[in-house]
Amino acid sequence: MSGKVLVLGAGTGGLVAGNLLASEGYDVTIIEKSDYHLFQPGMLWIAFQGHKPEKYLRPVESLVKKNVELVKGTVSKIDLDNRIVKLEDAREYTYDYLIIALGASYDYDAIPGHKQLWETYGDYYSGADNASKLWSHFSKMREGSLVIAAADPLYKCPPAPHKAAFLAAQTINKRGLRGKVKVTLALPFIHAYPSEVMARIVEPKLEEAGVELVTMFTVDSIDVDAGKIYSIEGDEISFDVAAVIPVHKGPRIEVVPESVRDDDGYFKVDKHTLQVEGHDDVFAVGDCNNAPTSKTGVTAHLGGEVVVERIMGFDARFNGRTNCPIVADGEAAFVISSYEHPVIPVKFSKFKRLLEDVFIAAYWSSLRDPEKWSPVFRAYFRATDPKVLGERGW
Amino acid sequence: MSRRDPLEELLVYLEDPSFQEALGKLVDLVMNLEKSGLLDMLVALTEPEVIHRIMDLVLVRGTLELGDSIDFLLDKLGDIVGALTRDVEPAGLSQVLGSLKDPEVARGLARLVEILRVLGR
Repeated sequence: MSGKVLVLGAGTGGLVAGNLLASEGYDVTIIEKSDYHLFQPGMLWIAFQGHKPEKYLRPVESLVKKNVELVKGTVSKIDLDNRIVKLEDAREYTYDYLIIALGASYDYDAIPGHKQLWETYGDYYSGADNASKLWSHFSKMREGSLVIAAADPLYKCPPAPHKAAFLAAQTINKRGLRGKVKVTLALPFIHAYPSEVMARIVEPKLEEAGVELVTMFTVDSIDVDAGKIYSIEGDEISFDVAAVIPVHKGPRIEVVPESVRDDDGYFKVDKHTLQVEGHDDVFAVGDCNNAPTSKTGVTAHLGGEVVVERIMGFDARFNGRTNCPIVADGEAAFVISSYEHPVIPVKFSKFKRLLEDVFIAAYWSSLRDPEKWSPVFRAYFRATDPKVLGERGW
Repeated sequence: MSRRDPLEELLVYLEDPSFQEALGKLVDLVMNLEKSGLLDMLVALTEPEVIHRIMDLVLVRGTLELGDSIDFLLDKLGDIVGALTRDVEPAGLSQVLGSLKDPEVARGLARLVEILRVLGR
């Protein structure tokens, strides 16, 4: 196979696509600004269970195949009209195929007081250091209120705040602080989860864990000094420590033409082919595109596989499949859906927690050698296809 | 984060007596597998094509549902073992029919009928 493929970003989607194409003999260059790849769900365990950040970080160079050229640099401009990608240090790259996998960016200025809250307590979205900062505050709590909230209904990993609440409650219960430290989960939805089917499964678990659920709470402003979060709906919640998921946007770079992005900066793609609108040689995978599905590692991984097959000339189509794990105390459930199928009922079980542990254990290997894991994932996703599981669920 | 030279890291391990002991056991294990021919089989089983076939066979709805219910089934199995090892009086037909008044027995019978229905499909 031949063709010069430029991959922007060494997150899940970028690494899967880049390494798969390299294994097929393509000339692949990956541009990445960080030295380390972070397993993003790990931030939850760092922030609420005190895990060491090292467990969830790997050098990017250890995750790319030997025949991939890894360039350290920050992308500043993508010129699709002239097929040129520019870096902040003025280096330029051309391509036959471009895969944009730059992830989402966060806007801590969108909500008054949010930046101060983030700088004070850290969070579990913006990196391992900030997750450690949140743990340093949370772990000192002996009484008071921990509030976990979301600034906007559109954020990466829809069950992340639920996992945060479950993990925090687990830590509090283990320390015998239940009743003294209160965990409040405040969400901008009408029930515990955007999908009512999953909400009915999650709500009793939250109650069991001792988590107070506040629905229809869209963060409007935060007063860190007074320890209060105010909602657009007119309510307020007091906190001693709080973590609010930031407003998400597309990547902060210049793009020509700008018309390939929507108002929030996400790349407009065909939801099945992941081709960027009007550009057959350009794909956007993972969190940086506007495909109408959840922004998660699984969608980035599966999207990366689809892009590779399309570049190879096959008519592969992304079906928007999700498999978001919700981890509770010793158990897990998955949020399973696709473009064609709304979320199906999936109950919590110990077996699913074991499966999630296996997925996490396989994570690094699945990035570096995705071709070896494809058969395993294909079999799993076929067996758990929402069409197969149907209304009965799993 | 600073990264240690992999060779330096290996040397630190090699100087550790517990690592040396573990390494010795690992070598023994590999030699035993080699002598018995199992190592050849394990190597063949880890070929991507074989893994593919195993996964196609194993990762199906039935096994995923079975896995999900494994703790429930083990609990039930424990209860059944308890029932099998308890002393019981021999029962005649009239006593068996009489025991159907017990809601637990009636529910158990209904489940057996449900199983028969599934087997007959």
